[in-house]
Amino acid sequence: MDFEFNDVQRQTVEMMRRFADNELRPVAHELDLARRMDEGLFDKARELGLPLDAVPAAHGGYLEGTFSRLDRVLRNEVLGWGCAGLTHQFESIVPIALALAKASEDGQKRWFAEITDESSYPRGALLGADDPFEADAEGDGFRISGEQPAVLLAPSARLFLLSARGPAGLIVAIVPGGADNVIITPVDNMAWRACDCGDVRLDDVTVGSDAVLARGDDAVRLWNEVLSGARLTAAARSVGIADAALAFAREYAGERVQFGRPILKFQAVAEMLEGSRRAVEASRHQVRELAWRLDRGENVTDEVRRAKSQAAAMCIRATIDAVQVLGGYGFVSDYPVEKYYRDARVVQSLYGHDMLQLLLKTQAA
Amino acid sequence: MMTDPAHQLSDAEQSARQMLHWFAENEMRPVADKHDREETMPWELMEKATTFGFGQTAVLEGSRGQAQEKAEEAAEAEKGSKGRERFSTRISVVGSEELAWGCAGLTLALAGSGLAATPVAQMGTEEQKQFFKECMAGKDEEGHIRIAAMALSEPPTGSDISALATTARKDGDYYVLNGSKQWITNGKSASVYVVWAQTNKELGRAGVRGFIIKRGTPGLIPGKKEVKLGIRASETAQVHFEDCRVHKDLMLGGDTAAKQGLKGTKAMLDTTRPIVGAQAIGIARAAYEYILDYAKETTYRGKPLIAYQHIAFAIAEMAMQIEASRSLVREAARMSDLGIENIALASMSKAHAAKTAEYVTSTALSILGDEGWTRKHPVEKWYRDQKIYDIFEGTGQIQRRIIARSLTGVNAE
Repeated sequence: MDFEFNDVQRQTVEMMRRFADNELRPVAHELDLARRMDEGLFDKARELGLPLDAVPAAHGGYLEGTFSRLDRVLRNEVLGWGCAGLTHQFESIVPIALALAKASEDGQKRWFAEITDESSYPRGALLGADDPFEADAEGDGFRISGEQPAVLLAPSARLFLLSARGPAGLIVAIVPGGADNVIITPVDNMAWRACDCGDVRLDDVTVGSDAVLARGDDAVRLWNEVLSGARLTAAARSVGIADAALAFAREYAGERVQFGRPILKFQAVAEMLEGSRRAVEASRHQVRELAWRLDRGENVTDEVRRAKSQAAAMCIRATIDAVQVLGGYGFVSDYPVEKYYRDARVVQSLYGHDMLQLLLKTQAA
Repeated sequence: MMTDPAHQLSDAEQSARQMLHWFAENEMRPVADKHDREETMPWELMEKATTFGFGQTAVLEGSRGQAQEKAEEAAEAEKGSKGRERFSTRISVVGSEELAWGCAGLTLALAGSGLAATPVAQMGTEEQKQFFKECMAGKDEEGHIRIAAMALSEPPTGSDISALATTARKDGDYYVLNGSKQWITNGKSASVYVVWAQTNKELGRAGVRGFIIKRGTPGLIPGKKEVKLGIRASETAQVHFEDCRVHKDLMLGGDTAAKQGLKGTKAMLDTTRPIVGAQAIGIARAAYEYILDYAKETTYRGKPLIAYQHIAFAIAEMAMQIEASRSLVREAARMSDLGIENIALASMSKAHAAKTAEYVTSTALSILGDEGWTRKHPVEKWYRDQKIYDIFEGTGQIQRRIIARSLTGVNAE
């Protein structure tokens, strides 16, 4: 096992950090307040190869050889440090692009074309992470129904990837965002506000066989892999948010003088920051290790579920404490910390809700 | 079942509680989301509230509003003439929980002018009280009822009040104020300000004096309104002073009463901390009640959420924390009413209530799952609102410092 970044990782992380610092951070606050996306950022993201670096070269993307989950996690850390919501815009299609390796030849042709189509930036969402949708056989395809509340990017999603319970076990299928009987009701989200959000209802949506990526045991395996990969990038963004909050609070505490000394010199303040540091480092390494194991083909579904839950909880605590260190300044939008406080709450329910996962897991035990 | 908030209340407290709960439920809750979303002052509500004891100058009028009056009448009937004094902080604690249950931001908006009127009532001369009331009469230029602001905090002072940097330099019959104030409730819209400034640095805290300054006085410049994480119905703004000349007659307590400095405000905190703590409990109780209903009504895999131990125990923990916090604030308030030294308990009650509000709202948000961080449920607002309760009126760290010092006699660093 080698803990050192290789050259590619070092360069990618450096490049993403510059992007986060120069392009995301300066506008993150304004886009959050206005609750909108800046289309110009998509062009800049494309220049970095996002998201086509997750699409095989044979299908019009830049991916040669195998996709590295570990590299993806590393860049999600730094992008999340820039702005977790904006990062979600750039990265939301990636789990879907990776799953398309399992599609039929026709399916790959059709769905990769949706992702490489440059008329708008491709975004997507996963459905059924907590509870699979329902699928009835129709011809060689299915009719799919179900609903999921408050799905990030649902209104602008070009593709949904979902799991559904069919007559012969689980299936994993693609549903285009614009398909008939896909009903999206916008929802006002208070975190990751650069992303739109909506309740999704599928009311007998018909999908053909080219949209079905896997069935039965294959579908279970694929879905676990999709969720594990996506959850790790989400957890990495929690690490990024916590990094950002902690760094800001640490710097502030070093400068803010109360009772004749920087507040960092008071043990109660230093301890809060130290506690956050301990927790964020633990999560960082746990997430990276699991990405490395996923790259090796291990089934780490349970470990990833725990790691995401841990990272989300860590980030919630770290951001509460960061606001506390800033006091009144933590509570106003002139400083980025109040945004981190809100942003920290998303990951616990993204790609499967931690609490419901726990209920299921411990009931089954 | 959780203990009724009316548990062990006197008839007086019970009657105040009922009235304020009615107001919170029927007048505050319906507009809470709107004012949070728009970040606007609840002018209509403030007008309505005048009949409920929240007249903007109620403290000065000696009129304490229907709720307070009714409560005091009942108290007097119960206990004889001593009732009036004995019940004031406890009634405030009981009432504050109800109002903040309605909306903490609105509660603070309703209480904002009272913050300024209180030092005028306590330290002002008759002429000053009269002047303050005149400033508050009628409508302002926007057609709103007039409101007041108390301006104490500054950018460099947060927890450390002795670092106050706004100066008041004597110049003949006038004091000339220079400096900037921050986190000022009603700071942008107030018609009159009570401003604290240093008249003589050598005197330290005792040199800090209050001035009543009418809006429009040259050199008084209402500043930027803050965009906040929570309590958004309450206006928070900066206020600047640039060679602002104030006649010496408008110095609280008069030009000569050197003892009337900032010292008085510190003693006030032993009363206000349990009241502020009670507001945090109000937020916590709102979230607890909401999530209890939600967990009963929502099923997951064929079972109501409440039938899962993970959820049930979380709800048990919420109730436990709320009960404990409520006992603390009520005891701290009782001590305050009886004139018993309560400095440690006042701090404990406020700090504990803040942590309760954090735990309850954060856990409730988690239980809501995917929808937690959306406006479909009010819990996200309560999670945003509650955070300030561990910050203002002395941070959680300052409270622990006070508690530790009163237990150990040592100033730990």
